[in-house]
Amino acid sequence: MRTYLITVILTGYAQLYKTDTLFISFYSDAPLEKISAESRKGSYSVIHFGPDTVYVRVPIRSFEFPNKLMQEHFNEDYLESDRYPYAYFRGKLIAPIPLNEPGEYAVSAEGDLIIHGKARHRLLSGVFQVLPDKRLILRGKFLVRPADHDIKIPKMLWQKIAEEVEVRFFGQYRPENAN
Amino acid sequence: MGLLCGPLFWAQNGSLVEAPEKVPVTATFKGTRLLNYHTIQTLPKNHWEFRVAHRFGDVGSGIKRLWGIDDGARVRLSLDYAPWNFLTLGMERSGEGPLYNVYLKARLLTQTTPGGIPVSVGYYGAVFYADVPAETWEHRLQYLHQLLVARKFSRRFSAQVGLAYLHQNYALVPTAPNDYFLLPLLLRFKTLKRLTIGAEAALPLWENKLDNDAPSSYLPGYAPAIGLVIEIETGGHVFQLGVSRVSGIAEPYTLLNRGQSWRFGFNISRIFSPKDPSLQ
Repeated sequence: MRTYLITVILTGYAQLYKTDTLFISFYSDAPLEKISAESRKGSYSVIHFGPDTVYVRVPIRSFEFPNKLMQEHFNEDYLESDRYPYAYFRGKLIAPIPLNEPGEYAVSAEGDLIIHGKARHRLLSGVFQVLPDKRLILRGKFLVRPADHDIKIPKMLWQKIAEEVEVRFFGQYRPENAN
Repeated sequence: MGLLCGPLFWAQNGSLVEAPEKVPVTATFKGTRLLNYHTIQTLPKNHWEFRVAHRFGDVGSGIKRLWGIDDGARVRLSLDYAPWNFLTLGMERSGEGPLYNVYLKARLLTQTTPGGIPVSVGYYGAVFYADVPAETWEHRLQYLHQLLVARKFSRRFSAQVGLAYLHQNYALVPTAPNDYFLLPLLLRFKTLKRLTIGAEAALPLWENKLDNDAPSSYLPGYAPAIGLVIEIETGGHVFQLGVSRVSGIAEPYTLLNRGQSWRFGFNISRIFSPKDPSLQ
């Protein structure tokens, strides 16, 4: 895969940034139960500055729940990770980031959020921190409605699973070809 | 896949077309037991399971005895704990005798998909102590060893075959041997997301001489145990309702069935998880 990336033809100021760390967590706050889970490995993201495209891929099975029974239900009954092993975001930054000026920048990307095989057009926001050594730190949060992605929650369990789940992300990007 | 028709960039990085990595299969069976027999499933680390099981009387008694429910039930209580993901320890008390037992179940190999390891393999071992009159206390002991081999064929269908060795220190009847080899078979069909139909049987790997020549028979009244079960999952609990041809509730009576009675029965399982530290 790495060799593929290097063969991408870069023109002008185009620059490819890739994650070496990407944490995703979510939190569901329902009347009867609070559920949290975290993915700390296996996620992958690239940002192609220039065309300003963003690509994120998160393996559903990488989400770890302290309650393993919930983790099994999450994979088997809700996200159906054997059919839909990944969640994706493919989009475009809506404003350019000054990569050469260290600082913090609010950032938004517009595109398809694909969870459970079902795409939704979304505008997601976060904060980019450009570090002097060219690293980028991205963090932010957004809400996902399970119903928007055809994730059915039995009526009996509505008090245990929130209608809106808060997803947080934290990633560190590095330039892929530092020439 | 519709995802592939994005910009050239997505196709070039190759990540959308690469095969999913091999992952261990989960939920080969819903619970740690089907109706009467252990499945390959072990508990996750630091989780507890408490089970209550009932087996009622002969369903052949009809409405007069409410298909056996009026005859009371054999009850079994089980408490299991997993110090590691691959090992589950349990202790149980069953209403026959009463009969006490401890067991351990170890996961030796886990099936991976796609490709990779084709089956999951486990070991189950138990020691039973029957609290009944006996000449010496050793006579009250029974031992069970089982090799479990299971495969999840698809998201809907799993099967398990086992090799069980049961040793009874004191034979049930003078003609009966102390050692038995059996082949327990378990099938699971997931029909809806939270509903499973299961079937199980324990087939003997020994010849019961009873049929031809009664005096030299091994085990009078022996008939292979068979069971059908419906599993309903409701978040934290699993309910298993079934009917089976067994002579009791604990493995020495469900593997070695001596009778033609079919019995209603149910199991209720509740799994307790460690607290989520991030929510404290």
